[in-house]
Amino acid sequence: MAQVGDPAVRTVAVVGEGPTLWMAAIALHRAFAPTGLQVTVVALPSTTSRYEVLAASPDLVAFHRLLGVAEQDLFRHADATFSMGQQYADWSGRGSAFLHAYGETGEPLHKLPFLQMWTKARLNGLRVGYEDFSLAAVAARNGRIDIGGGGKAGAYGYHFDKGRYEALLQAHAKALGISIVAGEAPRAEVLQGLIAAVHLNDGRKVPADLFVDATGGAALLSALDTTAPDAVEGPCDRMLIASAPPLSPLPLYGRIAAHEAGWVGLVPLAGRTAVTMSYGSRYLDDQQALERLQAAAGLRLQGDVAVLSTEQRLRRRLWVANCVAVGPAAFAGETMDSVHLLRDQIGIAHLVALLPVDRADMAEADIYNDEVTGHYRRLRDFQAAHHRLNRRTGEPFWDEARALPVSDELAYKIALFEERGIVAQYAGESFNADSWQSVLIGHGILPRSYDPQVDTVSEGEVALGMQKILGRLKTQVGAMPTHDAARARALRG
Amino acid sequence: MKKRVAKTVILGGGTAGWMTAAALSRAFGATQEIVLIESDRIGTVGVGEATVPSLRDFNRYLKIDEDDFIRRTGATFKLGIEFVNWNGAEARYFHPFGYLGPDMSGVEFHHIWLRFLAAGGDPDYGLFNPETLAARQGRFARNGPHGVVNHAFHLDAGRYAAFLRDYAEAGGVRRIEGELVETTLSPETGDITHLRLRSGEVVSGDLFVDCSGFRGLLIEEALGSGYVDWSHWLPCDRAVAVGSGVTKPPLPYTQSTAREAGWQWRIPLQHRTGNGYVYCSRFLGDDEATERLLGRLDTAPVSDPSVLRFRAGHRRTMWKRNCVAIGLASGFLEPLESTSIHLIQTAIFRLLALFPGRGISPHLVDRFNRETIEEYETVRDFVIAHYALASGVETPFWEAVRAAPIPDTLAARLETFRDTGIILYENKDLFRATNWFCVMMGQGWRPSAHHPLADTLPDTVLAERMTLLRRRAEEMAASMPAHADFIARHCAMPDQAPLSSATTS
Repeated sequence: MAQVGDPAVRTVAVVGEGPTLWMAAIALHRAFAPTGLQVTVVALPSTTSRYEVLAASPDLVAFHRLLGVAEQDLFRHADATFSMGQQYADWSGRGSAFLHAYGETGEPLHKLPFLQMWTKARLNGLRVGYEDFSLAAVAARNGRIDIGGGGKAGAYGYHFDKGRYEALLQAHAKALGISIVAGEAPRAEVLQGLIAAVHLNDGRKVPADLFVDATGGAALLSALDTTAPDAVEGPCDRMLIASAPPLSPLPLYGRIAAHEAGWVGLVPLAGRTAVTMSYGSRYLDDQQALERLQAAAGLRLQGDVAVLSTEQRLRRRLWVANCVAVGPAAFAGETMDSVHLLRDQIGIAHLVALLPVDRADMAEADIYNDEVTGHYRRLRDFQAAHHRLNRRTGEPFWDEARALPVSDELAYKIALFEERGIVAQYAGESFNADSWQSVLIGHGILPRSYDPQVDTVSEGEVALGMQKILGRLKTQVGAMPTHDAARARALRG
Repeated sequence: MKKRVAKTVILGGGTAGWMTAAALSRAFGATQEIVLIESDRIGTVGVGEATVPSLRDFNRYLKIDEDDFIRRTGATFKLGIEFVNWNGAEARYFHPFGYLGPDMSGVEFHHIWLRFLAAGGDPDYGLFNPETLAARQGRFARNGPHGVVNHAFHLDAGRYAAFLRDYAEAGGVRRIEGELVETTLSPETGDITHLRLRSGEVVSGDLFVDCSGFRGLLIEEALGSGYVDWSHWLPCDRAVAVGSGVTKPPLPYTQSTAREAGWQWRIPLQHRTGNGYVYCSRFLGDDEATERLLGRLDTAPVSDPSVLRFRAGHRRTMWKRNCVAIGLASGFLEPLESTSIHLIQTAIFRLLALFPGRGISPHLVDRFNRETIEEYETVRDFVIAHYALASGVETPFWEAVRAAPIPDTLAARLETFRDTGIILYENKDLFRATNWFCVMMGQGWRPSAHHPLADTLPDTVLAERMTLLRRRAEEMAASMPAHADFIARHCAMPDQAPLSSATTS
């Protein structure tokens, strides 16, 4: 420890906008206020457009516990619905669809993985699909969800309105007593390689020991590190955001439907349906995209349509000296698979876990950079897998999407799965093997071989075991409440 | 269509061979023909008679009754390892199984304990670990009032192989007595097609498991896999081993003592004590090492000393073509943390998980090799950490060891702990926070800080919880009988003189 004075980090300034800003500030305040850490929010004008939506994977439920955000408030104030996964439609050609639902599929038989049993049966002509053995998928397709009773159908996430969520978090931060400074055009003052303070355009300045950069464009971090973020070639670089009347009954999953040059997302909210159109600008201009969207969504659009860039960028160094970038400044890209909220949760949870012990020498930065960029690369793999595995041949956008380079890790993961139905899990995976299996099989991979130990179980026994599972699923799903009933319960709190 | 892998040939008995045979017979039953070739003329290497708790998973997989296994192998229970002389003459520290305490405030217990220490708490973290307290008092039981007792075994490797041989043969494994004289490879694919034995018998197979020991008769001598040499990091290349009389009562832990050119093990069994000296031949001759070892036994020798030669490292690929090497044929790390049998076991489970169906896919082979090498590397770092941080013995060997470079991965772990108190590990690692903490602290490598989240726990809550945890550990230890009494009651070897029931203090 340093000889003179207390080296501990005493003040943190969280600078930026959007949900990321408030999530970071609240997490740090809730974790460290008892030790005397002073968190100040420098809130810039929000850039969230009207109608933007967020999909949350089950990980957010635990993260909200950390933030002290009540589930009831999402339903009261952020137009929330429950989500049990995403449906991918038309990725293997028109009419194809699968549901990536959260949770396990099937049950081991004789301690052997269900997938291995199913693979053998499927190779021998079994007609029942993999997804039909997933309790969560069957429940979601039937509009049923079990939010109590230990969540028998596996975990659940949410869909909610991004702007309202941001407002909800802001109110929560205020109620917690976090000091908030509203300002514009932040400029970092650098002294001896560290940011000493942030200056705002009205002349105010906010000094701190540690700065969290949630500005989207890395306004603070760029003062310390001029390296441009790595641009990653992805097929979709633009997105339209629109709105349509609510669906009835409200589905328990979002729909990601491929079109000729990208995909359309339909996310059910309580009061409306969020509609997004992702596309490659080399194949469609904004006007064409809008026309296609109106045709493709099959919904009457209402209100304005906004356009956003979804170019993929990943900063190599997220934490430099005493400044940590979170949110889009760290990693930007497409929205599918709840990746935006996962990104924020990963960045913030690691920051809480690695809050530096010494403000003059933040040794934690190296671990943070290694671990968090590792997580982000794996998130990107999950999204890239959809594009890589599409089977829409003869359409230039999709042919090119299949040919785009992917990480060695993803290439190996796909090859190993095709060979034997094994998911190679790396450090820093956000999606577990169940999710990977669901998506790899959903996109049409049937492993070429299976674990030979499966041959020790007779075919009759396997068939009986599978029938039992299907029977159990039916009974369990029948006993679950509907989405409306679950929402009513969540609203009551 | 490629041919189904229907016949597996294991070359070599011993611990690795019979563990493999037993597990394959359990997994495949009659759907796979399994043959094991071993020669009565070739001795087996009895290193690795101390184990880590994961062996209990292997026993469970085979559905072996633990008491029966202990009786048949002359085993005793093990609660950890006592390191002597590693951090100063006669200095001792204990690396226990189990945990010091639960996570609190979102951080691992060691951060909480470091805060407790900074506030003037007792520097003996062993007081929070039931296994440490039981080891100090010579006690053992499988359970206590507050949970399970984490334990492993000391066992007689020769008896263990015989025990598993009975199991495997009952499960349909065919044993062929014989010595390999020639390996034939397919001219088209380079795969092994058959082995010719001294008797003239020819054994063909689809998959070959090389458990032939250091030489790697198939993986190296026939297929030329190559070797990744780590002797610049781990220079010890010899061990002399000898059995001696029973220590009474048998201690429920392994002892590892730093010596002039390496370290000495002591492993208590029901019917003898295993001893050995791992040393570096550049600094100590075989005769001298043998003499030193014999002069430092607690009990009279009961066998002739034997010298083993090895080189730290691993085969470049442990799975090549249709041959998988398991045990010493795949690589070697000195048994400082009793990992030899563990590495055999994980290789077996990995082989089972990736077992080829029709033909052998390069992706499965690649995965087996990657995972195995990663595992070797993490165990290697943990073993090197003991040497890199040692300060107990002042001899040319230790000076050379301390001056040697260490792997970057280890340097990162040591620096991170020193500067932040954070311990880096992956969930798949065998050695995790508690293991690294006890060894680094035991070797005198102290962190300058603890995690800031540890400070969020109010003082009064901290004091209450630490008192409670300490009391629980004490109650756990106090509830256990003496180790010798536990063995006598549940799992004593037949025809052995009773072990003394005196409890050491």
